[in-house]
Amino acid sequence: MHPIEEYQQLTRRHFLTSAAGGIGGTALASMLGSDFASPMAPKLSQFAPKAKNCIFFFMAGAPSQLDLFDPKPKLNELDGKKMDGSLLEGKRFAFIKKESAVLMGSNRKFTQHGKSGMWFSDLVPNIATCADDLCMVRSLHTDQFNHHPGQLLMQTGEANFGRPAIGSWLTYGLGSETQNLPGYVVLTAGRGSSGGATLWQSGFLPSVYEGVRFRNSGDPVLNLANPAGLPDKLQRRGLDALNELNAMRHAKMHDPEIASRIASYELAFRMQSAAPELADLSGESEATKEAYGLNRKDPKSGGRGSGGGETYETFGRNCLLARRMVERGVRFVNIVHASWDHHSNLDHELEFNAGMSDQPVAALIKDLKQRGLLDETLVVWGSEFGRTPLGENRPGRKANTGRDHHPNAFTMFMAGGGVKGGLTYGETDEIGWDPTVDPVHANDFHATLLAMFGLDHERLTHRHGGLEHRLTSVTRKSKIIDEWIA
Amino acid sequence: MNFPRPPFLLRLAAILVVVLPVRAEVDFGRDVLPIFSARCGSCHGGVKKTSGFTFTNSRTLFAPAKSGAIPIVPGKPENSEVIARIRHRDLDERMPPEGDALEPEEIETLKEWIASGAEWQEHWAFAPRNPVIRPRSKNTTWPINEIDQYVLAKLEAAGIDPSPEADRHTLIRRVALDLTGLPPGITEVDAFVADKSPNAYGKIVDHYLASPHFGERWARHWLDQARYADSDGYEKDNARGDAWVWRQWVIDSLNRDQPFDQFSIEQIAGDLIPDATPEQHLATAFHRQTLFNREGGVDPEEDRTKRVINRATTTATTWLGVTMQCAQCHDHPYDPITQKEFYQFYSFFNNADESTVGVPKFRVSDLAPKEAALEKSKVAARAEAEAWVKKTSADLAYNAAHPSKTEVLEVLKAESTSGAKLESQKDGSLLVTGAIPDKDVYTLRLSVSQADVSAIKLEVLPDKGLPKNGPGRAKNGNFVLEQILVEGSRLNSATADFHQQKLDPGGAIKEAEKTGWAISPEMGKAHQATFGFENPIAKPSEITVKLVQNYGGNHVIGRFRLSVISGEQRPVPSELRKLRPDQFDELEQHYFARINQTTAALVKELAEAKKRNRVNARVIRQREKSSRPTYIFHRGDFLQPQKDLGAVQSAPPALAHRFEKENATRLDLARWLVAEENPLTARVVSNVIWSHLFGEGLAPALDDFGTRAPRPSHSRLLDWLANEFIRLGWSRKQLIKTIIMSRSYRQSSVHRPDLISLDANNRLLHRQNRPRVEAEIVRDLHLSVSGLLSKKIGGESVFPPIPADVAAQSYASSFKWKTSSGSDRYRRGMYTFFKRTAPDPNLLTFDCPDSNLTVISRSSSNTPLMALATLQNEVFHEAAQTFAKNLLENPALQTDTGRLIHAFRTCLARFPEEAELVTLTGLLKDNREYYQDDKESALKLAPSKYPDPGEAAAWVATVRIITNLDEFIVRN
Repeated sequence: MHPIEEYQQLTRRHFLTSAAGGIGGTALASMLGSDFASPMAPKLSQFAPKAKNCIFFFMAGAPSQLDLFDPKPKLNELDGKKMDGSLLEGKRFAFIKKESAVLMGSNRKFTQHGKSGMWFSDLVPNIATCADDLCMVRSLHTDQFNHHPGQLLMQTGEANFGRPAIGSWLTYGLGSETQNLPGYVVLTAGRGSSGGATLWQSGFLPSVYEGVRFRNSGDPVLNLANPAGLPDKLQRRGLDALNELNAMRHAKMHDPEIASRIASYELAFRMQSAAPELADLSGESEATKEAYGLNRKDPKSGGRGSGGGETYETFGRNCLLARRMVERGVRFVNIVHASWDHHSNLDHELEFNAGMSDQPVAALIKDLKQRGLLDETLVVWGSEFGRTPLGENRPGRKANTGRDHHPNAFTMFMAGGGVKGGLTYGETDEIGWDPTVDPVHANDFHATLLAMFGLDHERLTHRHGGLEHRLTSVTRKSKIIDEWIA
Repeated sequence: MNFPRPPFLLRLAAILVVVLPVRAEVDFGRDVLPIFSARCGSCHGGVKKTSGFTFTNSRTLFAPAKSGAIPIVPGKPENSEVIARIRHRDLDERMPPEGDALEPEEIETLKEWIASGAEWQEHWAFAPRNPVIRPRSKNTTWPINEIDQYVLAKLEAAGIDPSPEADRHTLIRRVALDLTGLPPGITEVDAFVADKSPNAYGKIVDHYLASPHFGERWARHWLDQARYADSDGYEKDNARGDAWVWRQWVIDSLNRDQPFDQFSIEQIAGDLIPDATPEQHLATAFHRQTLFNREGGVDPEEDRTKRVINRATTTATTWLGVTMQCAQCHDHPYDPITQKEFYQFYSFFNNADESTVGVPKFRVSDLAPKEAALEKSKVAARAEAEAWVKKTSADLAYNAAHPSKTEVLEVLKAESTSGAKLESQKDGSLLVTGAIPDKDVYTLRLSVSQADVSAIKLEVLPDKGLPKNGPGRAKNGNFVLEQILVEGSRLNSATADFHQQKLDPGGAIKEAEKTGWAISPEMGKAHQATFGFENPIAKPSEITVKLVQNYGGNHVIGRFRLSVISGEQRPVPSELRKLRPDQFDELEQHYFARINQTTAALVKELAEAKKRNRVNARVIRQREKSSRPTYIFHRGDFLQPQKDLGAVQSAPPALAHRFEKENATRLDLARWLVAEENPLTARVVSNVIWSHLFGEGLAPALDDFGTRAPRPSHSRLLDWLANEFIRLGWSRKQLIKTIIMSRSYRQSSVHRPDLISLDANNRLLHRQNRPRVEAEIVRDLHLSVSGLLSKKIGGESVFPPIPADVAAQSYASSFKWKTSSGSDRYRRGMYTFFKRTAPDPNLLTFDCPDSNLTVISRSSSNTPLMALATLQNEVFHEAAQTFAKNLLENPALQTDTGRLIHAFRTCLARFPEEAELVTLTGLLKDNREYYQDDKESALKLAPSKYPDPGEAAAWVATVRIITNLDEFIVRN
């Protein structure tokens, strides 16, 4: 049995023995006062962790690393030329026609930043100022070149449905530091991603480990508000009666699940005040709000990544909310934004998306740092794969203005949570086709992420369908990259 | 069968065995295999034969390994290499090479086993089922059926008494929820409680088994296994508007208690059954539930391969309880499945493609009332029908005995009133030329040589010189023959090979205007009409015929020919002319469909209903041309088929009973799966059925019967169940009834803290379990007690209210959730449209599977989000509002206490206890006090037209607490 399950059963058994004689007022009080047998109760990691919380920016659709983080002067030189045919052998593309494809340089200007001299394009000037806190990984690769399978692989470890997402594994392994808020929260801005809700599913883990979406309008959590016309004091009065009745039933049936039910209703009640308090930004200073870009409207020129004209503002608020969540002990915050799938009109679209995310992401990293939260909060920025150095010459297109899906080499960056700042890890070849130094498979990233949280990816398992499943694929040997960890 | 009585001592021994503690001696399956599997399995398990031996094969275990040493020497632990190696002091020699050494107790168990002779057994699930050996319990009065004997024997061995029977209120609610997923009504409860007859319990079991909601409840369990959904999955996740048709088939199958073997065969290979019915084709949609990726850049072959893999592995899990996924890349790490076997299994599905079949929307039985009405009128018209058939048959016989002769008549004179020219042609016809008149009348004198002329035939013929090739002279080639007259004779019958709607040849023998024979839209072709004489003409020699064409608009004939027919033919409807006189069935059919007005109307109605009743559904069908060979994919990669190894032949894995078939098809596979000798299927399926009635399976891992699966708590009971299932003809209803009738099932579900150390998890079944009901049933219960639930069975999926931003999470926010109105807003949870990338949160919150992979056992979590949903969600709140309104409007309820008891019992069947009533009364009082002062809030909470909004609100605020009780969503 998984040690965590064993532990849970022990607590339950303990409770059962002590409460066997019936449940009086004191027993009820103590039951409600503690986080009794909650599957989300904080648990010890398997070894000493570096990080406690994670904020994961998932930029669905695959941002172009060649126009943001991985400069390729040679590619610019070869713009319009065919590429070395041998590199194309055996490669599959979503849309590119191999025979006539030509390389496409980047129109971006790259400069070095920080003491470490990390490279950034002119689209991310604010993130660039965090250079010395970032661990930039340029040699990632994955197995999938279509969105939904690729997104599943990055979020759940394999390109299959029915598997738990990273946040599910983390809360399964570590529980959550807050019981008044969900332990795994998803924030979205703009339009829906390819994967939709499957990207924060708990798969074969119980649904308590599923990502809970914080909503951009209305109640921050679904069903949070009392029904219209029911004041808080009557809600409390009703719950008191409910607890009493459930406790009577417990005294008769002796089933610990009834006690869990009572605890769940109490947590729900606490969440009813904790979640709106979390979402209420009135206590934040104007300077903070401005730093996160809450005052920004979407540029008039628009972009596909927009979802109704308020995407800039929503994304900024999501970043600020993420900080407030980790402050309150939420284990895993997933900020999802689509779409970065720029098959055409790349320069314009990327400008829109980068413009949206650059300032708030940088503000978040700095804010966490200033509040002393960055050490224990791992910030990740990435996607399912990258984009090709080849221009996309889909039949019927007049000009190449975008790039196709590229699983062979892409870039992600991390900050905080014990990662080494100012580190650029891995290299790709001169056109950014393949990693040449320190290639990192998506599963290696997963294994390392878990290690930062004190969890061994081979030992954090769950048995389902006769198999011991884990975040990393069981069919490949994943490695933990020690160099990332400070 | 009669067994000789065993000698006394043996009988005593049999009793002793069950009295002694369970663990008398080391048992291979129970004690030894788990150690091997857990500690040695990755190198010496399944098909892994490091050093040449595996503990799943006895031959390799007792023979010299590669090193020459013998792993296990029966009777001699000291000579057994396995023992030497697990105790080795040198860490390089010690086994297992990685990880901790075996625990001393584990080593002791292995030694004991070897010392006692090392009796090896095949893995329990792969071994043939045990014949029925009934244990004997000391207490002989408790058991009602065999199930109880097995359960009680284990309990007695552990020194545990079974729990008493649950009270009747609990029992009826338990049975109703397990069989239909709906709560029993108060009247049903009271009737059962008052029923003193000895079979009172059996009666309610039969009642709920016969309910059409039984099919819904148990279909939903099967839908989990089938990964049923209403959309494609993957990115665009397009809607599958026809998915529900198969869901309906499953409901029907359960309601008519289709035997499980047939149910299986039709779903796996319905298309290959000889003369398969549309419904059998439809059954194959089980495997159409796989995901389909329509992303622009997808390699269709890769996606197809994924679907085939999913079909193979889902089949293996659902019927065999084995996990085959691992074997797509390499030999299975611990179960005896090779990679080649995986592709042999895959090969069964490799040529099964998606296709479409038209099926009745509703079962034929839904047309039963119309069919009955037709049958009734047929019986009423029996005498007339017989007389008609007799006469028509005689007419046909007469006509056959008096063959007719046809003579094309020579034209002696031809005139046209318009002055058009009628020119004789070689074939005896006349071509009309000259200016085309508005109207015309042709008069023709004709020479006749035949005698006994009974009819005159008019042929109208196409001609290149006519508009649109004729045969008429109207712009479109049509004509209207208003009247045909033969001088001196009366015509009284008319038929034609074709006639325009409302312009039939019958009109041409009437005097009325604007009637007659025309042929639109069949212009450009030859046609003919035959007109019969009232009295045959004996010897005419010459006749004069007038063709009146005064319809107007150039509707005159352009080319025609006249003939006479001699030999008296009796008139019979033209459709019947080719029949033999003895084709009575056809004649009778014609009578009912055409002649008798009453039955003809019903036949027409029924045919139309059947036509309307058709719907197309996507199914699986065997590819007929260019079938695909199956190759083993290197490391599971479809781009690397290992063609050098040759194509593999379809075959199931060798872990179960033998399969001997060349060129095997899916149908052979399906039959093999449900063959009586198959050790797995009946065990796996009866274990699943058991789990739906006890909350847990006898074998705890419902989806894993492989070598690492934990042993069943009651192996012999599981085998008995499986054998019984087959003996009952794979009847699910009968197996379910057998289980529900047992005393084991009827036990109280009260937990027994005194057994915490003996049987904490109730593996010995000392009581019933208290599972929470599933997501769909949570919804059903709330809607049901409020009276809102629509009990319509089957049909298309519906769209109950969900928050708008949920659907917006789908790809590019393209999905629009159009909330259903009317009763479709309140359908059972199983009918909610399941969009894979944006499912209804009310379902997911309560552990409804995401329907992407087969699920045999749902998890059951207990979270704050559930509490928030049932307290505040629109669906549940609306139910509470209506529940309160109904209580207040029920004239039979006049007091607070009366209403509270009624509400409580509607939800829980039982009466509230005094203390519970006190709590609820106190809550009601406080709610009432509040809302009497705050009418504005009251109107928001209970926006009904109830005269006193404060009162209505107080009740809403009270009943919502009753419907949030733990007991409400638990099957006690």
